[in-house]
Amino acid sequence: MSVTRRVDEQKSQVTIVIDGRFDFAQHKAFRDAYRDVDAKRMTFVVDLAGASYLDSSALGMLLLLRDYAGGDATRVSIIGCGEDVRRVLKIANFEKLFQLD
Amino acid sequence: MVKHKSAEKPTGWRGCALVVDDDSSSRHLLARMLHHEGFRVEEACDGEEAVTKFTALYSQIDIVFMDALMPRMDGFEATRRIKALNKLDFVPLIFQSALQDEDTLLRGIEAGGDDFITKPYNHAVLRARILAMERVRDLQRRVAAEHLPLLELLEREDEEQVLAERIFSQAIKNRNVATDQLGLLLRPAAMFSGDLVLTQHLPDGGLRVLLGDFTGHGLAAAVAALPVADAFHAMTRKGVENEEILAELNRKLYQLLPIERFMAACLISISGDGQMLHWWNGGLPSAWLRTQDGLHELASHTLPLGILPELPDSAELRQHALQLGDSLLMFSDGLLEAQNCDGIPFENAAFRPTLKAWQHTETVFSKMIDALDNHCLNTEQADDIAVVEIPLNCSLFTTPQLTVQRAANGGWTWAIELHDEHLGNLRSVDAMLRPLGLLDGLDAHLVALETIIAELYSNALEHGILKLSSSLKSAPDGFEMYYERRADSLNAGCTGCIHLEINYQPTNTGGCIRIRFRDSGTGFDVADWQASDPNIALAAARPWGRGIALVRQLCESLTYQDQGRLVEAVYRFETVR
Repeated sequence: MSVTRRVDEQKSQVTIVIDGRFDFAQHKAFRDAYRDVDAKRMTFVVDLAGASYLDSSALGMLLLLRDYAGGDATRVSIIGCGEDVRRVLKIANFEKLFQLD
Repeated sequence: MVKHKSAEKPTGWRGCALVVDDDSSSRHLLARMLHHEGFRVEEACDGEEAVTKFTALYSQIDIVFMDALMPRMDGFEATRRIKALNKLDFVPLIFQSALQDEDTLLRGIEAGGDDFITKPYNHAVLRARILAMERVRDLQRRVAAEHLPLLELLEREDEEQVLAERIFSQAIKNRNVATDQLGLLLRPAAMFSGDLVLTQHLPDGGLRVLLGDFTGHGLAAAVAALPVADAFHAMTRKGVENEEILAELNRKLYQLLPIERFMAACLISISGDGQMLHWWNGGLPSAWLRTQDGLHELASHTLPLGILPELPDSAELRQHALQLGDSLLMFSDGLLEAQNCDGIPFENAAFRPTLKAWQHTETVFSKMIDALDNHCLNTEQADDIAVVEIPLNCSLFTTPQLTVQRAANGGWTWAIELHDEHLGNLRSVDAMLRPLGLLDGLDAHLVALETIIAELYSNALEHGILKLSSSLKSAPDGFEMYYERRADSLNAGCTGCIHLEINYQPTNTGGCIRIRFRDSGTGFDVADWQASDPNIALAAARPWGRGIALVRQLCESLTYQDQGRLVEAVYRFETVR
């Protein structure tokens, strides 16, 4: 259960990697992963390849990130979704709000 | 007596010490030393006296010095009792014993002693022990003092949760309609649920149901439920279109909720003729519709409510044709995710088989809940669970022909027309009128109204339409036969129409309610009946014929017209001031 981030200055891209359960317990770590990032300059990638579970508060956290990034579907992409995680995102129709791979 | 040397501090400034020792010289020596240190001293010569004194002087003793071996009750037992008496406040208890007797010291600490001191007493050691114990005591008291308001706060929060839950559930549940016709389960994980079920009739007699799941649990999740419920009921009663109500709920939630919060929801509207389902699913698990030709999945096709300022174009409603015997099941994700003690979610266990075994014209609700309860044995519920099943039968609807007119003076006219297969399904006055707000201020007359309407309705249906004769009831087993015939006739598919109109006019001193029933039957000869005395019918021992007599007693007047096909009852009341 962890949140880590990688900053790629050349691509102007911040990747946030979630491992394990993505729920409210990750709230602070997830927010800390982006709140010092200049959202005008950088785009965001959330890597959920290691996420085993996603609950509705995780969806809320993704919405917070989307808002931080400017409220635009092109600024945040979500990659590496496993079947269960993808299903949760699809039920919520989040493909309309984020770029899903 | 030794006089205290520090002139500025009076005797006993440090509080009261209890010295327990059966050896009087040893006891007096310690007492003197403690006195010198600023203590008032109480003495006890054995354990029993110590417990008695401690009990009597409860809250006055600040420190206890306890000898180990004494007659009657030893120091270990006395220590246990004193510590048991004194759980809230911390009173240090110091064991005293001979230097070489280490075993006794250990037993003393085990019995509840806080420290020990060895004989013979050394003044400097004694003073150091007392200072150390006072420091511990002060720390304990500070922690306790900080802890107390916390406990009170928790208690108050619990109370407020209970109150809020009550207000919330009253405000939500009391306005719902037709809940006795639905399968309905709401099982909150926290006391305050993030799940919400709203039901309301449409003006055409149809039914609209909203199942919502707010993100998160508890109070924060439920605060937006009240405005949602208000808008849902008011707009549905007015017959506002599905799209418009969703747009309004979305707008409200977008304004009210912080960015990371939203409400996944499923909205369904069933037309008053029971033949068309309109549905919308934004972020809830698929709802399931069982029709004659199989199971239909009503999958989430758009975003939940409250995320975007306006609903996206994809948020259009879908539709599906319905017929009697169909049934619709909807639920929140708490149902699918409920885990058994091995951590397996219900979705991967008995959920699918139960869904598959669901037959047309049957309800699946209770089987699903049984399977869920079986699955979740010995586990704690992690998420709110809401399950609703809507079986399509004609009693679900108020019938198509329902009208309400309201007058400026507070009066109103409400009318309903029951046709053919709806004929046997007049619901209670309370169920029909309360959701419309028409019974406000009329509660005192509800029982009378129910009686009048039930009796006149039975007459119109049983005699007017079904042409059953009351005299059937006078035969042996007549009652049973009568009601069997009534049920048979209704099941066989009778045709006809009953029209009920209720008109309320407030007056200066109270009010007047006119109830008119018209049926499509052939009528009867009313001349005999109108001449009869209702008191005789009521007093008679016959098992039948009381209904109308009762109505006549309750009403100012009861008149039949059009050969008995039209009856009007006038109920008048004075308000006591």
